[in-house]
Amino acid sequence: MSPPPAHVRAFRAALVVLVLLVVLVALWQAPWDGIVAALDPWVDGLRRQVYL
Amino acid sequence: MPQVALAVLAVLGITAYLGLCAAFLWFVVWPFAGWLVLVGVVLGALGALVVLLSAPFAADTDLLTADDVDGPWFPPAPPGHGRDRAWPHYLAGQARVDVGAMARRGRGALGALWSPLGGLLNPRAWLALWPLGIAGFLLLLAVTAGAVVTGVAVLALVVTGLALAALVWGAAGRLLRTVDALLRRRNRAAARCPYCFWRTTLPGYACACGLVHHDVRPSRLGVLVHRCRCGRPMPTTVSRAGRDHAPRCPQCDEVLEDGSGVWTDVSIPVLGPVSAGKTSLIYAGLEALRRQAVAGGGTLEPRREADAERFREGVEQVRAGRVAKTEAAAPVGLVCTVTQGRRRALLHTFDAAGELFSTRSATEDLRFLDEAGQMIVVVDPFSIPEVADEVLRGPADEAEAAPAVDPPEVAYEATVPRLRDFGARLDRTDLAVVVVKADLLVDHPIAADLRPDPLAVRRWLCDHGQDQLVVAAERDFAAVGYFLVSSHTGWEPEDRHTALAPLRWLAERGRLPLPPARTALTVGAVGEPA
Ligand SMILES: Nc1nc2c(ncn2[C@@H]2O[C@H](COP(=O)(O)OP(=O)(O)OP(=O)(O)O)[C@@H](O)[C@H]2O)c(=O)[nH]1
Ligand SMILES: [Mg+2]
Ligand SMILES: [Zn+2]
Ligand SMILES: [Zn+2]
Repeated sequence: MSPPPAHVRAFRAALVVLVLLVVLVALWQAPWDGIVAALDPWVDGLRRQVYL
Repeated sequence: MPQVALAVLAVLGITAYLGLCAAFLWFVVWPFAGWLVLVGVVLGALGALVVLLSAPFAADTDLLTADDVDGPWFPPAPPGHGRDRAWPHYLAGQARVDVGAMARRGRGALGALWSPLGGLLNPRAWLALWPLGIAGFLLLLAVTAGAVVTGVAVLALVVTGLALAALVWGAAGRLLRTVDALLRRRNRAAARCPYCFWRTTLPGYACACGLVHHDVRPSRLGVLVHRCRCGRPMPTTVSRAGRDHAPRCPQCDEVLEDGSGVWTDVSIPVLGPVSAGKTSLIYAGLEALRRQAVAGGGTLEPRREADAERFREGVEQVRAGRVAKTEAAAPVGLVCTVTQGRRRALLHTFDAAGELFSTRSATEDLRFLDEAGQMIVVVDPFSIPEVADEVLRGPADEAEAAPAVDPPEVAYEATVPRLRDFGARLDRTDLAVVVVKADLLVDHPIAADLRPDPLAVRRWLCDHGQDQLVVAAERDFAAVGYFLVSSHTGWEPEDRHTALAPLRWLAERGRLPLPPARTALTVGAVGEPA
């Protein structure tokens, strides 16, 4: 099978860039403080168990 | 005794084993379970991203090529030439294939992830290692959860993005297509094949590789360009494709005149019996038209060298009063470019020998009559019996007037029913009824009321036995104009019996670009159907 022509590759690359961009923005904009706070007791528990 | 010892040993062993397991679970698995889940979810998410995003690039993902445009990914091709062999636009086909590949590969990866579990289900291995197995199971679950959530999110994102893009791009294509069609319709742009006389608003355009693209409008094959099977771009819309590609006739594949399909196209066949004066009227009319165009700063030029030669010769002959009889074999099409300011048009006139209008069966082959939009019927007054009786007093008169061999209505009756049967929209067609040879007629008493204005010509025709022709014409056609012309003297636009009059009327109705008339000559239609 012949390799895909440039316009197909370009669209596919654009698709990848779009998804990665959205992932980056999502990671960047995620409410990390809240997540960390919510996870804190759990992580604390984990830590205590490890050093038990 | 040994049995008891064995039993005690077994109980002790099992207890020890269970204790070890419990210790392993309590001290190793349980403390790390949280971390296991965290790591698993992150791994799963990353894995899903990699698997899904690489799926379209995989070698086994189908590629929709120019040869797939008739395949199952597209609605049935339009009739006629079908869909052009050009690469389908990514959003129109390949996008769906790629999304499918993503979903398929994602599912496949999950399956592969869980397949080692089959091996672990071996009962003896489980018996020994189930605490470790529980840890592995936990990790697998976490990876799966991360992968599924991420995968679904990515797929949703991709599908939404592609659908939105396709929607926007499709709307842009439809808009461009509509604007292009409206502009061309406003200009009455079309292409008339000079070889087979087929008329089309959508010529084909050949790529450098030889493939003719029959539909260059924005479509699933692309909005701004279609990519030919060979990879070369073909700009969409007739006007853009026509800039650097020669138009082709969709019917016979011949190369059409430059500008075909983009410029205003006016086709004017001229009907009438043998020796009515058709050829004379065409050359005199075109020459008068040329003079008016030039006077207004425009041009009228025959398109091809051979046509230019014929035009010069024809004009010479008409002026000298010795027009060669048109040969019955091949109707003659003459294509001229008319320009005025920035407007351009192609003017086709068709001159066939009178014999071809004598019977209905003869007219059937006259393809140039189809979709003409405008026509001229030539009325030779000396073929009206009562006029001939009064005016033609001897062989000398006969020789000078060269009266048509059939009365005026014959050509009309042989042609118009054929047009109607072939589906011509006569209710959108203009007809100029032209009484010629005015120079020989007007000094006779029978023409006392005859003046070159439409109402007078119409009344004169009705008064001299042509009322049937008038009634039929006004019943059949959208608009009928009446003119009195001398092809021998009417060379100047302002001449009293100028051969320009019918052409100017048709030109104005057909959007042929012309400078405004210099004199206040009354030109116009009467007898719009009631
Ligand atoms: N005086 C005068 N003679 C005309 C006029 N128009 C045509 N004739 C003469 O009428 C004769 C026939 O003219 P053509 O133009 O050849 O007629 P046609 O309809 O083309 O005839 P076919 O080609 O045989 O169908 C010629 O002798 C012309 O000179 C005109 O306006 N005035
Ligand atoms: Mg002729
Ligand atoms: Zn090509
Ligand atoms: Zn053709």
